[in-house]
Amino acid sequence: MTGTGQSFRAEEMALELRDFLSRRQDIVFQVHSAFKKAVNLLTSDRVLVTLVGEGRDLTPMGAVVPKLHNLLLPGGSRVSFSEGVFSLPDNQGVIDTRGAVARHTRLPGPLSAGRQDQVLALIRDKLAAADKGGIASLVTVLPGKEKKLPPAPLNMYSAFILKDLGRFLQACQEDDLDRAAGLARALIGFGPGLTPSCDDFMTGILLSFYYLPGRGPEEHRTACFFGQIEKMALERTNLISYHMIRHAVRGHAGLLYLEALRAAGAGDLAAMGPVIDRLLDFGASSGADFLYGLYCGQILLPKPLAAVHRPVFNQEFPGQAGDFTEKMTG
Amino acid sequence: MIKTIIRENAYYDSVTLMLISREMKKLEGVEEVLAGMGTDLNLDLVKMLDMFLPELEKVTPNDLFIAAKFDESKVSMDDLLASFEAQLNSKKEAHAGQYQPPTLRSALKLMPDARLAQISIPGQYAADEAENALRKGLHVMLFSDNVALEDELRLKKLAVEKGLLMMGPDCGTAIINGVPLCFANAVRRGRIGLVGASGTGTQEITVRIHQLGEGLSQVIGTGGRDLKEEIGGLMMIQGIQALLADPETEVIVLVSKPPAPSVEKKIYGLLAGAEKPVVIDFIGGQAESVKKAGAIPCLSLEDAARKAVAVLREEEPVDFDGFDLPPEEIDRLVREALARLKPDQKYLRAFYTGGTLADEAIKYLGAEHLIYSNIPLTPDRAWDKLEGRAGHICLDLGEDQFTRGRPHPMIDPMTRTEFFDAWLDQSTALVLVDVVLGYGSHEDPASAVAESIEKARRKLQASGRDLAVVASITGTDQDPQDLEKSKKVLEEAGVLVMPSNAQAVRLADRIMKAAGI
Repeated sequence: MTGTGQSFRAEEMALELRDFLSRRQDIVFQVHSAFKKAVNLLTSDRVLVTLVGEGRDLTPMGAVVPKLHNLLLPGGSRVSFSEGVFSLPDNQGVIDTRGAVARHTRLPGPLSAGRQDQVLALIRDKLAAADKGGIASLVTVLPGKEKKLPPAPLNMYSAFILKDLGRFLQACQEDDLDRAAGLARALIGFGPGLTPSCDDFMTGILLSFYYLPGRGPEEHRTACFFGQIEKMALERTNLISYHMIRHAVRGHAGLLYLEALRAAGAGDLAAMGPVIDRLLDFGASSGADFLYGLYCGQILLPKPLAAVHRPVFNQEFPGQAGDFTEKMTG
Repeated sequence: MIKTIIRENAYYDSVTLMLISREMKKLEGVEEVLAGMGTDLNLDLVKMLDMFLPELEKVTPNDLFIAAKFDESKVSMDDLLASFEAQLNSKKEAHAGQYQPPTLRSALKLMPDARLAQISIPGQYAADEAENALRKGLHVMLFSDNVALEDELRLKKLAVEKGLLMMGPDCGTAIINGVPLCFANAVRRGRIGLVGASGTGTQEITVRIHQLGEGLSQVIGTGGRDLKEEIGGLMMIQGIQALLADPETEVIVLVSKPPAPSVEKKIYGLLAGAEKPVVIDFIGGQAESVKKAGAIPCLSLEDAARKAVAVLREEEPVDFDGFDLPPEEIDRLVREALARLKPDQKYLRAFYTGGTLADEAIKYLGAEHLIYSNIPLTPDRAWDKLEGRAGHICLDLGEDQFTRGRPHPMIDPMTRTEFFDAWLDQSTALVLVDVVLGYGSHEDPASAVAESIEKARRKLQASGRDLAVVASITGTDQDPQDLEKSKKVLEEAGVLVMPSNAQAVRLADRIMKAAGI
């Protein structure tokens, strides 16, 4: 247990959090939720700030405070912020953010285009071998039959969502984002975990689309899709998960997720291996479900960039395109 | 009976939620448990599973719910609630109980006489911590994997410089001064010392030595990459030198996959002047080169144990490639197995939790049968080359591809249970498994196997089919799991329990040949 009256130092801080805090000056937060190495603080206008301890990655609107663990922060208790310092309740101490290094929680621009076939095959194989209890084991079935994989029993979440997820992916592949947004209603908020599996999955999809060269939020249809998903998340999932999606439609994510995106986009096999391992260890199933979304997002690249990659992919895994319907009705 | 627990505005991390639902599911009489945030879609799933109750109407996406379907005569809602609270509290107590030093420095303050640090933290941080320990003069057992090869080399060079042991990374088994570390069996102390680059290989040999009435002085692990060219066998050599100098060690056993040629040369060079007999099982390696180095080669892990014991007792070490049971009894077991099978049951399903045990099985069976595996003899026998299910398979379920994000199957049998469920079907003729007891292993792996086999048998009964099942137990009478009970549980499930992995594999080979598969 951390002692009373201690002074903690934030080492890193998301750039957008630094800007937010500097704009607001004096703020009173409520403790929304506290875990062993993370605390979520909420403002009265429902802005969520996440402080994490050692070994955890910086998240959007977050800060890394290395010695932050096992604080007694009951839900609803008050944390005030003034002049760069958070004051914890019951004289437990302060968190000084003034020396924290500000870091971006988004990539500098669209993904660079590298050959992705090996990276995607690696993601698929590792996901197929690790049923974390969420929906990522559906990689053996969706999207399409890239490669014959050993049969694996579906857990109840995967079995329940199989058809709806297939329809959503089908719409994405057909570049019909309006239809995809409607079908996402059957996904948002579904699954085990604090951030439901389908929300983690959707985060992978959203970030893939956000950083796709020639697409992203500047493209009208993508922007509408993002808007609908964000609105849906506000209505249909919990607050923490909603914020994850809200950040994703703005291109923001935790550093681990960003590195996964970069490595997948660039086809950086050497970097991708360790990133996958870390993602599979992230949360109960969150990292795996996100990775599955990222995998689907990369495979479903709409036309301009896809023209560069698809022939290579199809050559190795024939029958990749257009197989959802058969699966869904079969 | 269906009941629900609702916690408004309650947030538990996902791992906690998963553990809670899994533990609740284990209660006798519980049919299904669903835990999640109260989103519409999660509630739809509850409805689909016929577990929806009116009180769930009021939950919001920010509430936690747990819905359970159970047999009221066997378990009550109070039991479920107690289990829920116990799981939550155990998570809390794990952090709040006995003082657990958060750093190596504070651990050394607590225990200033410590001579060895056992490190098990994520790979990316492990090298720094190991270096820190070595610099403080501690031997290190590094259980963590995902440590870079160059870090391993650096750490081992530092250990050699300081005259310390750097066991690992990815070192799962050692017994130092009689204290079992990580996965190890309870064996008596004795006069045989062992250096091993293989976890379950080491366990199998130490267990057989114990069963033959002898004991171990020291069991030193090296980690699986030590005998690669890049590392140069630094810890194997350090371990051999330590055992040569150890007055309590009279016979030395080395176990590993075949080393890189340059490493092999170094080891043999070191043994040239050795005054103690050395028994070597470089699994699948060349016996002739072992003999030339003046050491004793082996046919199997069990054979290594037998030869070490023979040499210790000043007896002639004789190759053992048979069975403890008399030939007529083996013939009877083969006939009994065949009687269970229909002509269209054709395939072997070997599911191992121990990597070296799986390796031993593949090398033996692969010589005469086409065995597909995730650790194949040749690339064309890789598991993903198998067409559908038409072929024999032998899998090491402890490999990374099956253990990402979940415990090793020696700790949690769930992975193997899933493979039993998915793969034991009407085409299965023979099942071959290991059951590894000892510290670190699951509390009752034998029952997990027995339950899966019984379940598979029930499934096959409809088509008038059965299975032949062969197993071996790597365990001693002093292990916490109760060796005799484990054997009994397996035998009651119709499993042919052999005295060693090598004998189990040989019996499997005999059955396959007799069945013409």
